Formats: sequence, C-alpha cells, structure tokens
Amino acid sequence: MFEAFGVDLPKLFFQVVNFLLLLYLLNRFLFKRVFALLDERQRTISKGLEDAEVAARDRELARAEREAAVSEARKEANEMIARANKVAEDTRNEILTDARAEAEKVSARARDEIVAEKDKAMAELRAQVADLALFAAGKLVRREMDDPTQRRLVEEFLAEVQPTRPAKSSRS
Amino acid sequence: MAEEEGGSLIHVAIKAEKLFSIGPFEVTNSMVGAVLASLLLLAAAWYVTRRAQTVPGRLQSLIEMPVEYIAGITAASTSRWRGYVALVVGLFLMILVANWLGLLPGVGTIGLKGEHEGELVPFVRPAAADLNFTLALAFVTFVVFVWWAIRIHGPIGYLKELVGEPRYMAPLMFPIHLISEVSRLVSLSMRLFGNVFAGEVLLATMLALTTAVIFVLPLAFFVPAVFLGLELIFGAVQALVFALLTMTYITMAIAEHEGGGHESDEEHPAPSPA
Amino acid sequence: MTMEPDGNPPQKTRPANWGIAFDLGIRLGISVILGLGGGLLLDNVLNTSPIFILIGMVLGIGAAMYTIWDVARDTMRR
Repeated sequence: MFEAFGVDLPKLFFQVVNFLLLLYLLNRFLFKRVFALLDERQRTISKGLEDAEVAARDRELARAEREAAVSEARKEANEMIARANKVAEDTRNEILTDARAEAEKVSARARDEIVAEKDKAMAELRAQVADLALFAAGKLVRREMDDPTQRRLVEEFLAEVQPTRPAKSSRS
Repeated sequence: MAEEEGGSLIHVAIKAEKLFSIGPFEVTNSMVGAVLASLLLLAAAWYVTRRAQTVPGRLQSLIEMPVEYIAGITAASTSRWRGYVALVVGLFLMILVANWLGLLPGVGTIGLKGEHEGELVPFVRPAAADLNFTLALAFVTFVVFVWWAIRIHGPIGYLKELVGEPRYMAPLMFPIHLISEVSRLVSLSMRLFGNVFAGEVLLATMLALTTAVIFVLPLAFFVPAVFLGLELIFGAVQALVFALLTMTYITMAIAEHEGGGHESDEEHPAPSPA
Repeated sequence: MTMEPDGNPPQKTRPANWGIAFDLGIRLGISVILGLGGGLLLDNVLNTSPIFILIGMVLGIGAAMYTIWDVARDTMRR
C-alpha cells in the first residue's frame, strides 16, 4: 500500500528533517521576534490606552476644578451684589425717612408760624374791629359809647364770636 | 497509459517522480517543492525580521497576520501554549506556502522528459501532493502529541491510559486505543495529501478538457482560473485544518490532566450518551 | 479546547471545533481500514488466512466507535 504512494523511508526522513530544520530556523529567527514584537505592540497599545485614560482623567479633573472655581466666583459675585443691593436699599430708606422727617419738621414749623401769625393778626384785627364797632355804634347812636360798661359789652360779644373764627381759619 | 494525447494531458502521477539520484538517495520533485517552500518561507522571515518595526508596514503585516491569527488561537487553548505554538504556526505556514507554490504557473508544466513513455516529469511538485511530505508532518505532530501526553501523564501513566480502565479488558482495549491514536496520524496526512492531490488532478483535468476541444478554447482561459481560485482557498483551509487539529490534539493531551477538579464534575454528562 | 481558569474568550477556540468535526469522519474510516490492514498483514505473515482479518475488522470497528466516544467526551468537557 505504501509503495503505491511512493512512500519510502529515505524520502520520509528527508521531509521530516526538512520540516524540523525549517521549524528550527523559523523559531529562531521569525517567531521569537514576532512574538516579542507582538508582546511589545500589545504593551505599547495598552500603555497608549493607559496614557489616554490618565489624560482623560486629568482633563476631567481640570474641568471639574475650573467649574468649581467658576461657580465659586459666581456665588461670591452674587453675594456681593446682594450685599450692595441691601446697603443701597438701606441707604435709600434712611435717606427717605430722614427727608420725610425733615419735611415733616419744616412743615410743622411753618404751620406753627402761620398759626402764630394768624393769631397775632386776629388779635390786632379784633382790637381794630372793636374800636371800629364802638366807633360805628357811637356814630349810629350818636351818643358816646365810651363808658366802660358798653365797651365791655362789645368785647363780650366779640369774645362770643371769636371761637368760630379760628376753626374756620384752620380749616382753610 | 494507453491513450495517445488525452491521457498524457490528464496524467498526474500519484507518487512523486524521481528527478535524479545522489548515490542511493533519490531526489524527487516533491522534495524540490518542499525545499523551495522552505526557502521561500525563510526569505519571508528574513525580510520581516530584517526591517521589523513595531508599527508594521503593509507587507510585514501581511506576513505577520497569519502568524498572529494562529498564535492568537493557540494562545487561547491552554496555559502551556508557548510550548507548542511554534509547531502549530510553522505547520500552517509550511503547508500554506507549499500549497500555494503548487498553483504558480510553470510549477506543474516545466520539467524533464521522463524515462518511460516520454512522460513529462515536472521539476517542482506541490509538496503536499506527496504522501511522504504529509506523513512527515503528521509524524512530527504525532510525536509531539505523544510527547506531551507522556510529559503530562508520565510514561507509565500514558501506557495505562492506552491499556484502559478495567485491566482484564486490556487485550481488547489496547489495540483499539492504539488504532484510534494512529488514526490521527493517518487522518491528518491522508486528508492533506488527498485534497492537494485531488486539486492537482482537478486542475489538470479542467485544463485538458478545455484545451482538448478546439471550439471551447475561450473556456481554456476562464475555467481553470476559477478552479485555481478555488484551490487557493482550499490550500489555505487545509493548512488551517492541519494546524488547528495539531493544536487540538496537543491541547487535549494537556487538558486531560490540567483542569483537575473542575473537569471531574463535568465528566458526568460525557458517559451518558455513550 | 478546555478553557483555562485564566483563559481567553471562548469564541477563539471555535475554529478548532469545526476542525474536530472535519477530522472525525475521516478517522472513523481510517480506524476500520487500519484494523483490516493490520489483520491482513498478520494473516499474510502467519498464514492464518481469515482469522486476523476478522479480528482486525472487529478491532477497527471498535476503534471507530471508541474514537466517536473519545471525541465526544473531549468536546463536551468544555
């Protein structure tokens, strides 16, 4: 059976030797270096991945830091603005109340003065009116009405009239 | 061969033909093929290692790709893959190059006029179309496989494995085990030889058929090209099958004792279908 | 075949699996042929014409069956 296929020991032996020799040489020169290269490339790739990962982590860290700083600054600014607003508001209120009080005071004084002035004028008026009334009454009666009793009567009358006048003047 | 022309066109010798002899040693054309394939591989290896870079060029990666692929598969088999990865990759490369070498133009057609009947004896024959070559490869594989089995089980353990478990069954089981083991060797070598040889015959037949009849001559360019393409694929597949089976055999020899406990509880589903 | 504890992804061994399937059929035929051939050889040497070829045939078929079992066991062990 083997002869039909041309198999004999020397040829078989030659092929075995040929293959083993090839295997030895390949293993010596190609495989070791190729496997080493494969390992190295694997290492390089994994190192590159690692580096990229580290870089990404750093970037992320920096981003977070930046964000934190920004938000901190924003918060501070907001606080500052709020404080300034509050101060301004307070100042405004203070000024307003002061002004209001001042105005009140001024107007009160003016009113007092007016009242005093009016009272003075009233008193003068009253005196003159009394004189005029006496004088007019004297003229009308053609008699002197200078005796103290009559004068007192007129003054009493005017005193009765008086209370209505200030009320009317204060209202106007 | 009784035929005049057609017969000589289709003729493909089943054994490698003798080219010349050195003393008592016959040099056949398949030896030339094997040596040529080896030299080609070594040249490629030299090229790759001479200007090896970590980031490979196109040609370098083309050569490294199969090495990487097979090495990757082998590395996934067992933890001792370093011990046999060189054999697996080497087998693959050798068979691949030897097969594809046989498809080059001129390989089967340039040669001497033979001694008998004026047959053409090609200088180069695809190495795997010679049973000597495939048997040699299978033999190396077989020896490595048995060596690993002995290394894992010890020589006596391996013999015990061959004899089988119930000792009184030994006269029956020992030949059966032996035949089963040897069948690996024959299966590997015969399949490779058969495929490559059949491919050679197929190509020769197609060429003869299309050139024999003059009015289908245009087919003579087209049909063999299709079959050449097919042979290209078959050559690669055969190389892959040979290499992977080698790996599987060795892996089985190693794995039988490696996993220990976790294998014993997975042993149970196996006998039930038997 | 067998996965290592520290092993690699299982799909990497798949090409090896169809390799086994490829191989099994041929090994069956070869087992029988080897048995027959061995028997024939022994018969020729010992001049015991039909005895060893029958034994060889039985052993060859037995070896084929054993091979199936062996491969199935190895494949299922994963």
